[in-house]
Amino acid sequence: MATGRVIPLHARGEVPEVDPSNLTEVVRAYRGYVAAVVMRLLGRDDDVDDVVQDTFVRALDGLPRLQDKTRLKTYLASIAVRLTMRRLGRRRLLQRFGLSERWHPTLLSTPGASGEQKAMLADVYRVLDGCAPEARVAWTLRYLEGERLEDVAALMGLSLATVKRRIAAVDAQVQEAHRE
Amino acid sequence: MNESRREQDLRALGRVVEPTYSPLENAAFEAEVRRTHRRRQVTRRVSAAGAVVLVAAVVAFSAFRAREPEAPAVATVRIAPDASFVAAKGAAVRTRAVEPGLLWLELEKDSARFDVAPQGGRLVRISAGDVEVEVIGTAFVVTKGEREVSVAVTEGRVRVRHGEREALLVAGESGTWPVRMALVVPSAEPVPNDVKEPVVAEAPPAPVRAVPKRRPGSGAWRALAEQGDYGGAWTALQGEGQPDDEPPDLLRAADVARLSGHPAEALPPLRRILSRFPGDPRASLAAFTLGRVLLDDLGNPREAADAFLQAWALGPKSPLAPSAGARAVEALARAGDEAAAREAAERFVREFPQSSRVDAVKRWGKVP
Repeated sequence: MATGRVIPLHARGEVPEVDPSNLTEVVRAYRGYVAAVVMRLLGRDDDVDDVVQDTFVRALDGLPRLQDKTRLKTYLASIAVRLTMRRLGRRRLLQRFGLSERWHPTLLSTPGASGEQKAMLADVYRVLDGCAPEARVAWTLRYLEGERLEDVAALMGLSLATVKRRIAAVDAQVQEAHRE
Repeated sequence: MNESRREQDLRALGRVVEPTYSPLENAAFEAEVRRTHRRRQVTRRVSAAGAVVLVAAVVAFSAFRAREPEAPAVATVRIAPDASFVAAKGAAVRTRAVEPGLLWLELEKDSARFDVAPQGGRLVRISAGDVEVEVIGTAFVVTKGEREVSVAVTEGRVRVRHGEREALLVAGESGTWPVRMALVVPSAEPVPNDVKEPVVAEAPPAPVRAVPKRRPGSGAWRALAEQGDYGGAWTALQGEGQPDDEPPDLLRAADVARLSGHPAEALPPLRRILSRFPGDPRASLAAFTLGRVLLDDLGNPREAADAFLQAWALGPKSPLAPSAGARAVEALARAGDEAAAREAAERFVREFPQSSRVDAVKRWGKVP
């Protein structure tokens, strides 16, 4: 069974050789990665499949024109991040009207997680659930995804300073929750 | 906690959230991506084609509109219930007469739209050259050109007179009349003195653009009447004898008599229709015409009221019924029979609550 795995954007040496015009190869190489990014950003299982499929459908138009194969992963990630932020924005709007439930552990499947990890994830996502989409995505990319600040800024289309401010604001809340 | 250690812990926490997919799931996923992509492409193309068609339609429509000459603005003349009127700038209208029962305006040139409020029995007449429009209804446009005058009725009804000819136009109808009509003068023939009953033409003819000359002779009065030459028709009728004893010919004879200035001579043929052909569909029109002649021309409101009531009774559902009812109330009021006028007015309001004449009828019948 092929498994998705964390492939940091900056770890270019680990990027598999994939022909961007070959969708079968692209799906096999990156579906897990894209799904993992989306699931971490959303913090729940629902909507993940929709966003991932939409990411690949939208990428299909641009894949054959992608000259630099090493940018394939960034290309897919940037689409996924944009779509996820849109989904988070909608969810936040629904929450304001009481039409979307708040985060709780059963919404996210983590079969391999220890009890301590599950408790930590609960702390993290309860904080993230109250944050603005832009801030929570920036923090998640930086810490749960392990991306460099420069890559986070590039993926989100924000300046480095803005990304740092967004991450710092969320991180303070996460640390506070962890201390409690 | 050390910052770098914390980052490592969080990254490890992130790895806990990691979905896995089998090759079979990936194949199904890929197929679904391709299907969705194709579907969206089709949708995009259809939308683009639709947009192109829409844009082309808008451009074509705009071009078509641009080629259309803009209709000149028509000045409006508003006539209030008290016969006062306001003419918009550009309306070449002057007053010819203002009397208790008449407001007479003249359109000197160009076009004007006339919005006429119910006048409670007052006649509103608009002249344009030798064409006269008498208001029965409410709104119409008169255009005076160099060679002809056109009248288009937008609401209600109007009566148009051109010389001795007359036509009734209702909403949606229009007509054109020559400014100078080619007069047809029948050759002079001796008129027998013993002719007592005139004979005449049917209802007002449709407007025509030119009137060809005709020689009067046997039956010539009918032809003359059809051409609108009621004076000639009247003269010819005196020499030709009586009309046929049938409703169309009797109606024609009555029209020739009244429109040639012999209203009293219009009564016999009309009464003949009512006595001999009460079941004929034209009997209601005959009774209504009889009422008009008696009230408007002969000043006999009592008998006019009876005639209008008869017209109403003969055709209670006919288009003429509201006019007959309203004029019956007016005639009864003029005859001084207040009780009958009120009763008729109440009946009118019940039967024609939407009629534009309701206000006038209430005033005549003194119904609150």
